[in-house]
Amino acid sequence: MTIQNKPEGTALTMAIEGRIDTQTAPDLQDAIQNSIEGVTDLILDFTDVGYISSAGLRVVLLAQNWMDAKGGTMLIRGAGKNIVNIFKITGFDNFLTLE
Amino acid sequence: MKKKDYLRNGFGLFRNFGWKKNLLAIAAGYLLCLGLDRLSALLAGARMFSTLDFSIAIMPFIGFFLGIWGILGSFIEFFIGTATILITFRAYDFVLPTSYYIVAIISLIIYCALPSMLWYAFPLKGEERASFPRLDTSAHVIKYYLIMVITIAVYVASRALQDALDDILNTSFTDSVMEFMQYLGVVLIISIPIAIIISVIRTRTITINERMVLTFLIIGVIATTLCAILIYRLTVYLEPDLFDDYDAIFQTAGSDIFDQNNAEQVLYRYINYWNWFYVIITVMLNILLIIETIFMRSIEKKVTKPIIHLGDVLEKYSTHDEGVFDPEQVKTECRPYRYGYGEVSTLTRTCVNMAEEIDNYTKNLEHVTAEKERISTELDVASNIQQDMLPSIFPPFPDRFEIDLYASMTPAKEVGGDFYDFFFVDDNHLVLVIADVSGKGVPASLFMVISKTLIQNHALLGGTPKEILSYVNHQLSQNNDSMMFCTVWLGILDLTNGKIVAANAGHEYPAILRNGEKFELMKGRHDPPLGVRDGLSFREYEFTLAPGDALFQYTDGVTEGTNTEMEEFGEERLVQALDENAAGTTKEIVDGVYRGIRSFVNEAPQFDDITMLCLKYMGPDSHVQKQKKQYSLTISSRVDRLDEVTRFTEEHLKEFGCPDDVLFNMILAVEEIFVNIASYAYGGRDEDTRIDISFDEEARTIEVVFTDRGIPFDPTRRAEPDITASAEDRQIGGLGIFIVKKTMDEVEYHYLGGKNILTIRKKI
Repeated sequence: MTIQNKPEGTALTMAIEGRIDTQTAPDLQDAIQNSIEGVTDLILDFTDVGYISSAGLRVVLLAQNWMDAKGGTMLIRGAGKNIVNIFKITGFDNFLTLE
Repeated sequence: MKKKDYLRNGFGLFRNFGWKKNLLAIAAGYLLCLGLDRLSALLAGARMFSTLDFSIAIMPFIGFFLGIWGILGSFIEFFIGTATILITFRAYDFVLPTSYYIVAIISLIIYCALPSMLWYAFPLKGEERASFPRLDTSAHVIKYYLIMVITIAVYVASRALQDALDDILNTSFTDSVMEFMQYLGVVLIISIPIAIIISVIRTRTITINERMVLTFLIIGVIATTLCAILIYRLTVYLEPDLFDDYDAIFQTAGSDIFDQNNAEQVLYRYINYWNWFYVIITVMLNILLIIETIFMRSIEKKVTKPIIHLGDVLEKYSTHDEGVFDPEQVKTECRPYRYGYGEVSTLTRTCVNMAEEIDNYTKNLEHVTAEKERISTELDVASNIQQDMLPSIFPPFPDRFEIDLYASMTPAKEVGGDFYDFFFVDDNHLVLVIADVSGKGVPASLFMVISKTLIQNHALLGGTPKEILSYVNHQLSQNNDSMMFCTVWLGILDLTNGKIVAANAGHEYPAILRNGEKFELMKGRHDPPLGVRDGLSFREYEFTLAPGDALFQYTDGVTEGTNTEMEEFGEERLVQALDENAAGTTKEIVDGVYRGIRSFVNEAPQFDDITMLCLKYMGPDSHVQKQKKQYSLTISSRVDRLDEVTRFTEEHLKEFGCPDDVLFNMILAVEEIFVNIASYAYGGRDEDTRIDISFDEEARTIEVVFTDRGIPFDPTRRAEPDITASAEDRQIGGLGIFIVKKTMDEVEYHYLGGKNILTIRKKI
């Protein structure tokens, strides 16, 4: 899994590529935690994410809570069909903003 | 170094014993001289004046043993004595030149100190330093004797010099020789027993030589006493008035009738008498001492020294000090005394023979030990081979979930005659064998190998139990001159329905666990053992194991395990031990029974092999019969092995032609379950999880089975998360399993035979 940060003012786009599973999810968590200071609008680009497991979902949930806590927004962009399906199954679509 | 040592303690003279002992030495020297002084006076007829003062004779000897302190004591006594004499004879106005006294004192000092100095200054050949004076060898006796001779010669010479300084007594050479003889005899007769007594007290031992010296001395004393009496009688006879005249001198001394000339004459005659007296004593003593010494030297040369040397040699040989001492060296060392007719030669020859015998015996023993070692090693190898012949990897058929099987064999001796065996003859028929060969050790194990091979070979050809046993019996009976036999229980289990067809050739009855409650011995048909008689036929019987039922088979080593009170473990205790462990896996059942036996027999040794086999039937596996592609992965249950699990899953699912969306969900489900097992099942321990992936082409269903031996946990019963909650309120736990349940068609959990078995299925 690789992560590319593209800041635009107070907005930050994190382009993630690869699999978010039990082993890689902690890296993503660290990356988000370290990047969101001063960020009001976080965009997680899931275009190149092929896979996400419950460990990944946990990080997404955490990120959403962090952004909510500081009054920011979080957007998940370009998630594939399978991943959107998982979001739906787990009810994550209720609070996530998908694009 | 040595010389320095001598100088330091003044050649043994200036030894400091500590002030108490020094005082004691002074007192001893004084009392010894005083006593001898009185004795000499007594012997001379209770008169103060005699020709020889014994106390002077003892002085060199005092220097020897009591050192300077003893000498001091004796000097005190001597000077008091001399002063008394001078006072007694002051009437005669003895005026001696001062030089006389000086020489007298110097000669007395030399006389006292010389023996000790000489003794310590000249150690004998072979001595590092002179030891405390002791007359334990002939060499020491000779040394002592020579030292005394020299000392007395020096003293007598100094006396002659002393006499030359005054003109009262004109001492001639003959007088000096006489005096020498007197002193020598008295010194020897007094000092030798004292020397021996001191050394005996010091060392608490007495040597042969010392005994001999004493013996000769006593003989000498007796002989000289007899001689003295003879001389006295002779003198009385020849000169009847000598002693009266002598007495008269003292009675008239100082009075008017004292005749100076007559007195001198009487005195001369009197001295002459004593001179001869002492000369004879001395000559006799010396002759005896010389004889003793010669005799002693001969004994030493022929007996004592060889025995001491032999003792040294044998000690070296027996302790292997100073390198390895072999019998050849003993022989070489003992060469001088090996030949001859004496007792020592006989002893030496015996010792040399004994050394050789010991050596031969040792070599022989080494050889025998090596041989024994070799046999023992070979037996160990044989034992290993035999053990290796028994299937020992458990579970033996990990992909067969219909059964849980465990067996063990604990041999009593190096190699035993028990064996168990199990093998599939086809996909669904498992042969179970347990057998006990008569006898023990190598013959039993050879017979066991033949029996086991024959049974397996024939069973694999597809026979029924009775056919197999008949055939094996026929084979074993041929040329079985040693009349060995083998009891066998053989059963064939049909895994599809739990039916067992069995035959029993003289073996124990199996114990059966029904309804998971109680074990019971199943007394089926019983036939004679194999190998006894050719042409026997065997009967079969059938029974069926329901799912959960178990079969336990064993050899007589189990029931006949005997404790120190000679009680047998017996069938009752066996069934009890089985029941106690009935709920466990087959391994737990077998181990439980073994523990039961061990704690029952306690300290008593194990006489027979203990062999047990246990099978639990889990019920038919409906999937076994289906045609399916199946892959299996056994992997350490750790999260960092997830990549391998994912790769394995992806690879085989793609092979099955799994569409992408199903693939995604399957991989997700496998990850969630594997991570769950890795995190919780083993409590952090590094143990295996088994993953079986199969595809039923007919039903177009993918099945993944996870098997672990961790703590029982049913994930399907976990509470589901509230998926309608907001992000803030969401609990993350249980999400993985929830996804699995949502995405898979079927999720099934079983706990069987100590295993968590989780199955997920998904239709393509």
